[in-house]
Amino acid sequence: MAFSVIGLQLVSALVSATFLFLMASGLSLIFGVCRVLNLAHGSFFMLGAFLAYSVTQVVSSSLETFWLALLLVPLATALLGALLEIVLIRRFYGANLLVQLMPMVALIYIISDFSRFVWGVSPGSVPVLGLFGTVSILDLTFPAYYFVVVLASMVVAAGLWFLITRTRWGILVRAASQDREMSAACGVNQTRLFTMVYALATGLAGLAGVLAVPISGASLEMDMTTVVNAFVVVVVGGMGSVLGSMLAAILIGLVNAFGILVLPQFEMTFVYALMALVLIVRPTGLFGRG
Amino acid sequence: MQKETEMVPSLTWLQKLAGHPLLWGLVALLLLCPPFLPQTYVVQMTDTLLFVLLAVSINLLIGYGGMISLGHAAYFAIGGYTAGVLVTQAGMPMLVGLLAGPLAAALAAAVIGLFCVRVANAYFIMLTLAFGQLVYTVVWKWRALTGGDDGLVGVAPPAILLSEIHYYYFTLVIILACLVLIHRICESPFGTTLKAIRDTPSRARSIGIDVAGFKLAAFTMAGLFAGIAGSLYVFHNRGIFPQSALWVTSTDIMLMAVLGGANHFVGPIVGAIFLKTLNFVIPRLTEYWLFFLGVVVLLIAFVMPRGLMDGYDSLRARLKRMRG
Repeated sequence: MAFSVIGLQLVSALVSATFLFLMASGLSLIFGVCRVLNLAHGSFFMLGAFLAYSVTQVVSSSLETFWLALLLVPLATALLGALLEIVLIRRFYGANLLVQLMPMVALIYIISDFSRFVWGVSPGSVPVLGLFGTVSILDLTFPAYYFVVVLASMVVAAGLWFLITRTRWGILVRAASQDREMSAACGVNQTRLFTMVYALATGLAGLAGVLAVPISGASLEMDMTTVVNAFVVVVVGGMGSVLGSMLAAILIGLVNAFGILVLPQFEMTFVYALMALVLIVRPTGLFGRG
Repeated sequence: MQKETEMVPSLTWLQKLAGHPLLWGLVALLLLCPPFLPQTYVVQMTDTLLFVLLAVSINLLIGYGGMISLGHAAYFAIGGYTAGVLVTQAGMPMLVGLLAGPLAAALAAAVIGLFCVRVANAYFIMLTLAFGQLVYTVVWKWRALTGGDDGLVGVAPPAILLSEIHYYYFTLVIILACLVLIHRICESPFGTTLKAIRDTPSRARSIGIDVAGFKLAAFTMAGLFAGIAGSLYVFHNRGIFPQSALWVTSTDIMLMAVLGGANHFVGPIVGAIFLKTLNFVIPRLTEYWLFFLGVVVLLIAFVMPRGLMDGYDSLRARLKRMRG
């Protein structure tokens, strides 16, 4: 009995770590390269979830459609991210933190009401969880979809690692995040690089949204709840470190999954306690620079 | 000798105030108008006054301390819920609620601030937002105490304050006193030290200023004043809902300070009145108030990113140049 509980919580910890990682790594990337706090990151997550809901509503709620949504929706949110970066966000790169916050809060408000206008207040669901079937490991049965989610995030993590450490583009990203002026002086097209980074990160947020929708559905509150959880991951892991985001996401997923067994009413208590502890010991986060 | 140095600043302070006819005009308007206004407007004015205090108190952090808090609604809600719970569940008189609410908010701010002041800039924003959402979750889930999403209802002031106009004047006196007090704090050596820390934290530290201590003190004070607004709100509104602690209340308070102009003492007052007036008018015209507000914020961010007061100042300077 105890074993099955532990196994179940482990898997759900991994699943929640997936979403946390996809969100936190994007936030980290944007902050590292573009130097803005992308407060509206959760709005792209929510849009991803709602768009996936729409795709399955319009076509059919079959597995094929879901795969289609998984492919198309992140592209759509990335495109929207690129567009917003070009017309809006980039005009505030040089401004101080306070002024940068204004377009971010405005975006959150606008996307929130836009979603309410298009999709209404009642949450949408995509019933594909059952279509994936189940997987049994050592007498424990899990929805096979959980493993799809974890696998997808592993592919993304490996892809991100390859992109950042093994490609020319990754070198440019790292150069821009370490010394923006110097990389500009060396002739790197910063404007295009920033747009691409913003698009990549918002694409990841959209992907997380699509992946989340069969489990938690799409709702109007998910934008801020998700981004706040991602903030906690970033504070614990350290800003600007993708590896830190990943390890912190797993750590927080675990703390949350097992904390819920002890204090079911206040699931986040232990996560905040962990965050407080990290802040006392290492204010820059476990893997943060400086 | 010592007496003289004590007397001089307080005199200049009074003189400074006396030299602002516009300010006195506004106060006279606030004092004289309400008896001639319909009740809805009086209720709206009381509500606006409370948010003026919230905006001015958050500006102690944003404008003077350079600490951008996105969790100020937490202290507003803690003040409100503490006062409300004491009155409804413990049967305490209103005065106890009005005293305990702000104290509880200040205590919470001191504890949360302990962690938040260790970091700066973007980290500070993320942390205050995260702690704000924690308070929201606790308020929302602790049904036995707070009533959960049904809210805490039936919080009534004593008979003499039941009429909207009486409560308006009661609020006005307290809010004005708080504003004068916050103004004194901003102009005091404490406020100046805070500005020094905001501008160059490393230099402030090197001349021996306890940077974290000053920041924590400012954070606690801002929490205290937010708690005063919260405990006044719960009696005005006859209750309080978890929504009061939600992030959107925090971003609204932040926007009031920033849209009005965070580098002015009166900026947040202007911002709060501006936003509250919009909030009074617009929802009658469209269901999509947040969308509208987002567009307004974008416009201001492009046209006068340092706020309405700054826009007013530069406009006045330009007029002066044109004339002379």
